[in-house]
Amino acid sequence: MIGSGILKGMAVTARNFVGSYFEKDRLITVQYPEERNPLPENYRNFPFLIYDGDDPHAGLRCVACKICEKECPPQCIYIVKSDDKKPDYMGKPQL
Amino acid sequence: MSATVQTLEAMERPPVSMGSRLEGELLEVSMGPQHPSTHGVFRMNVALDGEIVRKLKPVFGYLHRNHEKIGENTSYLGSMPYTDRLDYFCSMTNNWAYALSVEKLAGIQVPERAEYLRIILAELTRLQNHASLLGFLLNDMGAWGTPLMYAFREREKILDLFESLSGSRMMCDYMRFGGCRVDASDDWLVGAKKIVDRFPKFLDEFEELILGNEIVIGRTQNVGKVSAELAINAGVTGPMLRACGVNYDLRKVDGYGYYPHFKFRIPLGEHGDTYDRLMMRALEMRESVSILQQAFAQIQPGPVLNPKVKIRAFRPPIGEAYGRIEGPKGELGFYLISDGGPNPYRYRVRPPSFINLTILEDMCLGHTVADVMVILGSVDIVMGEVDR
Repeated sequence: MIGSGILKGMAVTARNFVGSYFEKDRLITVQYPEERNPLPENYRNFPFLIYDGDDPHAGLRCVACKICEKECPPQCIYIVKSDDKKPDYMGKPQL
Repeated sequence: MSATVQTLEAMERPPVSMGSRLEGELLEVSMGPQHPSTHGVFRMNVALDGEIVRKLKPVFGYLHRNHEKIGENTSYLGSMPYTDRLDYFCSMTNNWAYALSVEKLAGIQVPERAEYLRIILAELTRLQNHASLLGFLLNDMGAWGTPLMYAFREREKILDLFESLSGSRMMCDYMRFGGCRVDASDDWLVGAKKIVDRFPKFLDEFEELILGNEIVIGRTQNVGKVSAELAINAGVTGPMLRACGVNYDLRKVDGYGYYPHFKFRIPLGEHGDTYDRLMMRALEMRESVSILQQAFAQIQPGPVLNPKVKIRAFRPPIGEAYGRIEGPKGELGFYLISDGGPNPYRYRVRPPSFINLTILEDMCLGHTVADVMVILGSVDIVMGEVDR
């Protein structure tokens, strides 16, 4: 009978609509700004530099090994090494 | 002193008359690049006779990013994140194709667990690509939203898997030469298996929703027919070729990776029309589910990265290699020539959706404008890959 395929499809949409009130599997949206899905542990976030203490300049842990400069695919990282050999935040001499 | 200067416009567009129709003229319409159904920035110059397409000229290059030249100027590893941006729906298979060609070039062995992980990820990519393609195709036909949202609901679960494994939903950057970047935990495998086991339920529902629908049948059957000869001569690959009844699947033909260890069938069409292409995607998803279930049963713990490969300062020997895999859209190949330096001398991509697009005019001639969108949707193009 012509039209039975359409009615079957409508039954699927009805099943999804009603099911979204009862089944967790069919209702997957979250109310975004108030509610957020937790990010997975492996999530690749913005890159940032780690530092010790409160002052990011004094306690910077970056030792300017320049691996990031070599690896960066669009070649947008550019690093200048500082010449002074003052000790870092932990008191260790910089190499 | 008056000379007749032929203007550029008249030279470019000679007057066309149809002869058979009284005072008939072809109407030239530019569809795209800003058209909701062209899947990106794709333009078609269509010459219309009433509503019937008489000529069709595709215009592309709006998204050209100089991918191949950039690949020649960055290191081998540096090109890996760029391959994600080719076909942003299936970055895992792009990674695999590139890694495979570099492994061929340098003769690198891949550990067994990494091969299984690659197959799992490639088949998950195929599932999400085909599911969202069916949704987009129905979107183009006018089933606005509903099938697409159901497909994206499933796609979302698979993208969450990618995110928890590789750190990014679409730009995965997961494969490395000689394996994969990180190992999948047991929890991840259990979660992935759960999602894959539930996938046939979605497929049953989705097929009930669309495949028996009289409007879908009326819009797709006998629309955009391709003969097997034309498809072979044009170099069409993937589900589009198999919809014409040609049994050609690189997973069987090449047997790359661990695919020879798996039992699966290749669905084949008969008519080569849009309905067959649509069915091909639906049937391939079933086969992908069975491959995935075998892979989850067979995968063993072990290393995922070949420790002998020096990823930094990687210099393959002089030579050339062509690595190809069966991506969700067709044969995706990377052709690399090495001169022994840190960068490839030549880096060439064989994009499946670009080559599948070349027979667009042959498919569209004689159909109406509304059918052009359906035919274009069934080719399954991603403009990031067509223009590169």
